Amino acid sequence: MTAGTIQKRVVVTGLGVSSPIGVGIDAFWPALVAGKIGTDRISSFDTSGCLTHKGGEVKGFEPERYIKKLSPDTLPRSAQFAVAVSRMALEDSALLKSGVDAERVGVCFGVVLGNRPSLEKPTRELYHRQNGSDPKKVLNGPHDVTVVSRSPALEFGLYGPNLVTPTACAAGNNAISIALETIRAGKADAMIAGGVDELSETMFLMFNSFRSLSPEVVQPFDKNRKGLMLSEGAAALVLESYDSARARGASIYGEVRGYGNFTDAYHMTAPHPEGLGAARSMTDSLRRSGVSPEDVDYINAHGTGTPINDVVETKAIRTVFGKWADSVPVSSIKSMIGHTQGAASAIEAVACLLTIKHNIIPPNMNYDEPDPECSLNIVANRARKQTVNVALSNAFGFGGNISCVVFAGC
Amino acid sequence: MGIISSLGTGKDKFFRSLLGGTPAFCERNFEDEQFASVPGFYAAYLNEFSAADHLGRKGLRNLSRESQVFMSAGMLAIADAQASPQCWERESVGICCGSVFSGYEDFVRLFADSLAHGIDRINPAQGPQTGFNAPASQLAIFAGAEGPNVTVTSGIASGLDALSQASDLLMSEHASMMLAGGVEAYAFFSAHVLGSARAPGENARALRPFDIERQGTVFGEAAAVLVLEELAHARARGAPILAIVSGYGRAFRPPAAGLELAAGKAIRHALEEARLEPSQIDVVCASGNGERQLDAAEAKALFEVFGDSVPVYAVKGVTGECLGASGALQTAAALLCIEKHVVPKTIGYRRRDPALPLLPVTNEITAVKARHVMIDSLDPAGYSTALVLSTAKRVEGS
Repeated sequence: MTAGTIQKRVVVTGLGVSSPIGVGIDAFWPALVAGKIGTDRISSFDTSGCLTHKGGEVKGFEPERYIKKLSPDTLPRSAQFAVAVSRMALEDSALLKSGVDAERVGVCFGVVLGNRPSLEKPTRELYHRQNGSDPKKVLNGPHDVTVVSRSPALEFGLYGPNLVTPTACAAGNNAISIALETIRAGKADAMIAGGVDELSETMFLMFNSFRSLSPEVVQPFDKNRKGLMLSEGAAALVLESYDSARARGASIYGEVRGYGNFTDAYHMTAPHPEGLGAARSMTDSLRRSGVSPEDVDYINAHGTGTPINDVVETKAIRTVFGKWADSVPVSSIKSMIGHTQGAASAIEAVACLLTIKHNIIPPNMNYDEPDPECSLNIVANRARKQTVNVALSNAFGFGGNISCVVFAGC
Repeated sequence: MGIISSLGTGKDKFFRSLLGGTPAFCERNFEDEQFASVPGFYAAYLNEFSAADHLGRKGLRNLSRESQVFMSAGMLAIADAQASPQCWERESVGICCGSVFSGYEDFVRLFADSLAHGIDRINPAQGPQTGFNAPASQLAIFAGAEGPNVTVTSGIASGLDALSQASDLLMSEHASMMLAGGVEAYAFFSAHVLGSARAPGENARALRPFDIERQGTVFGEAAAVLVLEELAHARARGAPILAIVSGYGRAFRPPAAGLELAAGKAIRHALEEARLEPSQIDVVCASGNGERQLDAAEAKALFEVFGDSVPVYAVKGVTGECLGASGALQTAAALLCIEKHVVPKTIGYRRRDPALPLLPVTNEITAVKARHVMIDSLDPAGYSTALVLSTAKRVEGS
């Protein structure tokens, strides 16, 4: 798109979410605003050999409620989540009832691992020589991560562009960005964009080896924060052009205004010490969205609760926002749901859009003692009623992949 | 471009093999003390590849194999494009990688090792290599590319999806240069999965695209990276311009409806975006990988669009089916056609299959004035992506 091209406006008309604090928007949003803590003792695998034992799990998820055409049993948990949140978002948007051409509706989900955790159980069985211990039977496991985007397409008959972006913790925002560009370029009329991941024992062991997991709760930006918690979940957004949403009388949550995508190119797990990629991504997302730092009403932080992320994110925010860094409200919902990996920035996008709709900022929970190195206007422990028209959502991934997206009310 | 495959390292070796080489398929046994060994996995393995030659010795130990190969191919591409990481605008250079198995081996290995040796013995440095995005991230770190960093996965369409994503990012001015391509490398767990996925009786020892005797595919390892650049930027620095990306098309259709639908749609969309008629395409670099149904569907789609007038050339007979890297390898082959004005013979192809439409699959080197080349990929899960490359002379005064 060369300079001078008027960019098509793209809006969000449907939302779906599955999280440790609730499945479905009607459960999720009130819990979020109430500051419900969804992280708890992990029950799906044995953590007794690890340094910590808590994380986020989605409870009470009933796949058969959301999956009608495909057989839920044939799908890994991540694909079940993806179909479920897609159904929620589609029903919320009433898109499929509007006569839209199914060939022009695509699906793009972001993941860290997708369905790869399904390998864990068979690998353990094989190792312990169970189930006949035939490697062919046991190890013929899921490598095809595309199932998370393909399953919603097959369930709902959507034959537009279909893609998976496995870009670590920035994946959800990457998927939203790709969906935005796809619609702007006229290659689809609507896209389901989202993120999903299931809880993985392997990932838990990996983070355990990094010693970066918090034992009790996630405390983003708090002086005594001890680390992140691994979690699972999914979220989906229905994106379509503003014109088409208006024409069919759709209810609009807000607009996806723009994104910035830079890389630290510094280290696989540690962020650039000055938050270079983060500052650039935030700055560029604002520039491309036509907003200035003082126009931003809320920053949904990446805020994992690790000592290093939070201080670097603060530096980057202060670099970008200058004097407004003292006043722009910031919160991290990872304080409540943990780090849902590929789903994180998609769930956070849902939170931003609901924030814009309801003018209530979700709280940064477990914030007991301010950290002078994380000096920001933290929305501490209680939701805050405030007019929010522009929200910025940060996602920082391993490998330094960073994606920041700006959402705005219409 | 930078190419590392079973045919060797570098674009010259690659081109020579396309023009008159033989596939380097062989059997390898993968053994593991914890699990039963995988009986001979017949594939095209990387040949004479030493990561240290491209990356130096430091820090290699904790890199996954696919990271090492992708990084190396990336550095070759940078050198071939006469670009200099020391003085390029770091924030304007991005990476886009397509892959199916990236991170897979390290992921399962981490878990398996925890079972065998205990949780405390997990190596923290190995952990990040379990990520799909490790190759793209590692190349960014090594080369100093601070622009967008994207990894995509869509089976056999991954490579062309990476190239088209990269071109979109250039068009939307998120970068002025993108290193884009794909990587695939096999080890114990991935060899097992691919070996197990074979249908009984499908034990192909040769890869015969579109051939009457085709018996399935043979997988290959490779990394191929192309340097895509915004045109004005390339001109300003006097870069060698090999071709223009004129357009692409991406499609998904459920396989039950017929894979030719996905392929046909992708190809038509690519033509539309390139503003070309089918008759203006001089060569098709096809996806043909010897799978009976897949080749049949692709042949049907190609014939419906192009009839019998455009030579169809498939590289996989000599490279193997390299999954995430295939699209980039086919694109490199397309560049060869454009540069040398030839279409090579489709190695592996001997006899027409009368059950397929009458496709002019090349069975000898042919001179061709290749101005516009169509590259397509088709995956059994229903993904298809097609890309059109045009000669650099096509640019209209911009």
